[in-house]
Amino acid sequence: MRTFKIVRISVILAVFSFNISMLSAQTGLEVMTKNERQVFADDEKIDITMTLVNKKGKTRARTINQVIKSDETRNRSSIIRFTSPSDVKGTSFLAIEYSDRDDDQWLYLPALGKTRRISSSNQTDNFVGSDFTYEDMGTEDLEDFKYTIIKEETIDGQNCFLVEAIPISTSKIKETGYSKREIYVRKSDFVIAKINFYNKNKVHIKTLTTSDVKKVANSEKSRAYVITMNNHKTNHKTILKFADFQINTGVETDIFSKRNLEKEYSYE
Amino acid sequence: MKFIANIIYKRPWLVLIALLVTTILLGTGVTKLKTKNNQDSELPKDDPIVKTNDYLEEVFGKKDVLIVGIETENIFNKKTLNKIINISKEIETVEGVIGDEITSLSTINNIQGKDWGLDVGPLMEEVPASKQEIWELRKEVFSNELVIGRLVSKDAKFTSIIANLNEDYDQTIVYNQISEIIKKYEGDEKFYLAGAPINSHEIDTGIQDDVNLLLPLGLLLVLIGYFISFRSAKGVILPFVVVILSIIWTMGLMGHIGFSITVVSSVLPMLMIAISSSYGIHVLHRYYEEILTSENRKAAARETVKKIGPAVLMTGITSAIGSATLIIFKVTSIQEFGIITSLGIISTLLVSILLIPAILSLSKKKGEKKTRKNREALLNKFLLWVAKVSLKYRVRILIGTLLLFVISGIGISKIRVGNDFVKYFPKEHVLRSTFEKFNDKLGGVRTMDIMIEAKEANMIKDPEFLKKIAGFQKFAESQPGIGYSSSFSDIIKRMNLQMNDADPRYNTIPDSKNTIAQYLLLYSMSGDPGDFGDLIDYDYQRAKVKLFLTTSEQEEHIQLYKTFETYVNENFKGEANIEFGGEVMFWLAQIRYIVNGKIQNIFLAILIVLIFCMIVLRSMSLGFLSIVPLTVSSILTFGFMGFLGIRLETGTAIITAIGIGIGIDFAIHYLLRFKEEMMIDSNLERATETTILTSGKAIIYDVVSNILGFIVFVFSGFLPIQYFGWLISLTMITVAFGSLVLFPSLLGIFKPKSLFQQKGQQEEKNIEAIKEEAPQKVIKKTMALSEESN
Repeated sequence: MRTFKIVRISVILAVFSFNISMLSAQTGLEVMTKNERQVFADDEKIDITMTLVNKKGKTRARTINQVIKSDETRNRSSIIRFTSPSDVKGTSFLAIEYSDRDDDQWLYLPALGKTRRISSSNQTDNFVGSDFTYEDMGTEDLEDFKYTIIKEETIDGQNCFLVEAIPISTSKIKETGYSKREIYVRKSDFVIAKINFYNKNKVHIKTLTTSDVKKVANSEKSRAYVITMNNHKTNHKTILKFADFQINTGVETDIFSKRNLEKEYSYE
Repeated sequence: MKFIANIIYKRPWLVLIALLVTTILLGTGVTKLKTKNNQDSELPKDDPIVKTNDYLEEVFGKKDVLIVGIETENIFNKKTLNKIINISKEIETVEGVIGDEITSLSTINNIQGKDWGLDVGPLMEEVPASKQEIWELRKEVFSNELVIGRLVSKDAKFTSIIANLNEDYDQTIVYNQISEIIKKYEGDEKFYLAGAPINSHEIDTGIQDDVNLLLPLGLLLVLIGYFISFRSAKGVILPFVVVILSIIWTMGLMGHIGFSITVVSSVLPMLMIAISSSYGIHVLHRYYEEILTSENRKAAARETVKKIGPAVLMTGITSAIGSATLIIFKVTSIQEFGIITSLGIISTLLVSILLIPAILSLSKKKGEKKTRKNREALLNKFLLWVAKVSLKYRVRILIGTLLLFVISGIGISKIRVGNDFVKYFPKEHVLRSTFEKFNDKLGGVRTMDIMIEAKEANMIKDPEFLKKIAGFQKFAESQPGIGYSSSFSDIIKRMNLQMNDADPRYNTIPDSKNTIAQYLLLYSMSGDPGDFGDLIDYDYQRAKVKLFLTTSEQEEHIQLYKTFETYVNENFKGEANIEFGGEVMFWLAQIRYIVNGKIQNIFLAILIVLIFCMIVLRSMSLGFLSIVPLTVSSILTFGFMGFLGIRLETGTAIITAIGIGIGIDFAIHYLLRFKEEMMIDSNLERATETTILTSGKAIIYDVVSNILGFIVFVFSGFLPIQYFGWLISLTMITVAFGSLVLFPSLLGIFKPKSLFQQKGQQEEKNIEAIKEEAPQKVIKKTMALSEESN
């Protein structure tokens, strides 16, 4: 009896949510596809100021210069270079993604003057010691999730779709570290306003919020210039402030080389 | 007393209803009782060590841990490694465990140089597929100083999984859930559970088991005792009700006041049985005496209260004072125990004086005659023999006692103080064996935390500073009793080694500040943002060196502390402020309070009792005399402790106070009676014999009933309570010896003026008349009774 009832309720709910999608004439996947289109760039250069704040409000700050380029199959290559504080200046990190094998990653420590290959990171690893994981920093893999529009909500005066993203398989949960994400996508420009992250035990552990969304100069893409990640478990947070976005300026593929890591490379 | 006696005489119902109401009101407090099993708030808040620990927790966070130990022939096999991985994952589901703060072979962050480059990440993410891979993992583990001997034992037979807990975990939930998980993985491996929630759980269980076993046992013993004494339903039930009410009042009061049940105060119900059992007896005995001469029960009850009341009151007050002196200890659990025991004794006092007479005066049955057969012939003979011997060999007894003093002195010099928590449990207890296992296999479970606080932020990253920390650790690890140490410098050393192709020359702190900063950055890339937050603060100004001690000996702990203090004072002079904290330091502070408190407590208790006795006996010299048995007994008890290796610690610290409180009654009763007898004829021998046959006998009964009550404690699951049971019983015997043997001997030798001349002369005339026959009568009568029953 009881199961029957539940089944019935879920059927009703399914029909109901389907109706919402019909009304807004968009599916969750459509919203996310638009978001992905807005986010994706062939190449991108950014200066990032990363501020880590612990629960007592103490801070550690670093600045990073990042260059990303995607190839035809959308595999990304990136170089991260620390520009401050002075004692880590020049520390660089090169990652090249392949679709058919493990990523290559190299690390250059100027103090040792040598480059070491390092084991590839998991998606769930923290991005350079921040509260963001590599998964959080990457682009959406649309085929890995089931997207459903739950409702519409206003965040910071912006109308948003609340899209629920559920990994299609348990292996994807393991890979991404999340059992569910609640993604708030701005209707106006499909930039993400907020994400609630739920860990594998379905606990809401992190919240990402964005602000200062602007159109990037010489590009039709919009970017959030400030992204904050709050970790609710540790009460630790990371604030990323972006400056000087350069999108699709035609970055050369050959800068993503081990040799280049060790050079005093200037991205002008 | 007269007032109380009259109320009982006139309105017994009112008294009973008042008692009932009080019992209900106090009884509701029982539901408020909580157990406390942690060491927090045991010491005064302004204690420097407590302050340091608070500061350390503030800077580095406070985290209790749950530890699973895994032991097998060789942990490097697929099955065991697989279990490690799975348990490390499953332990996350335990409520209260912080999901990604789990340290095990499969989660520990590792930076390992490989032929292809640098492996950054968990030491063992997946079970090695082949023998070759297992061998490589083993090699990595053995070459990693942060893992070998710490997470994995050097004989490869033992490893642990450590999970951090958030602040509001529930020990029972944690215990049950982890036990469930472990059950699933049982096999060739042996699992051990450790950590704060496990300890708390075991203590709670121990307290529960104790109460479940000792309470019925204690009650049964007094029931048997009552039956032997009175052989009547009333004689069993009435004093038994006194015992029950005393327990309810005491525990209820405890709940209302808000004191928690600790290992120390868990003895209270049983202690109340031991103490309250004799009160009812005394009242009932007197009633049976009175009923022989009174016209009815009500009158007998009134007379009982009038006559025994003052004695019961005095006994109660001395005992209550004895316990109350425990508040001089600066250890919360002991203070609270002293207060509540004291209140409990007063409760007993009230209940026994009010309840028994009130009920008796209401009972409708005809007054029964005291039909007790005299079964005391043998005891009488023995007592008379004791009296004779102690007078005859008075000098030898005194010399013998002094000799015992000297021997006890040797014992006292051997007394060792302090114990750590795990020694609360008997050797065979699972917690104890677990503790020893971790201690043996992983080099130390007791910890000392040393905080090195630099003058300004970022100084810890300075190579020279880090080298000093590393130097201190090297020095510390070279001391006997130290298993290993851990600090932020270890991680830097390890990274330097791995970044330089594992060249052992690089197992050092690098010389350049930038290198250190870049290592830190690399490390942070592979870990959480809060990583090593428990080793260093966010500003890089304060670092913690955690020392793991293999010795459980507190004397050695003190020695180590002094050695380290000298070292850091010399080496960090002017550059950093050093604070010592951690579990070991906490216990050292506690034991200092216990030893100091103990000494103060003995002097205070004896002083108060001395003053009390001087007032009651109205004589300085008798006052001094009265404290002799207690003093002797305390010294003998300590001597015993020294020879038997029983330590002075929380449990044993309370003995003297309780012992003195009870024991002083013996002295007062004895001396009062002796004084009374001496006033009759100033005949030392006769007075001694009469006293021993009356007060002496009462003392023997009290000793027996008290020991019956106290001996229950030797069945406790906690060693300190077992020792308490043995030692307090011993104290009872030595105090009785002091009163029955030492008193006659001392009185015979020193002949206090207050007894032998003044009073005797003053009242010579008054007693002239009875001088001739009366004295002999008592003895004759008693002896005749004895023979009759033979």
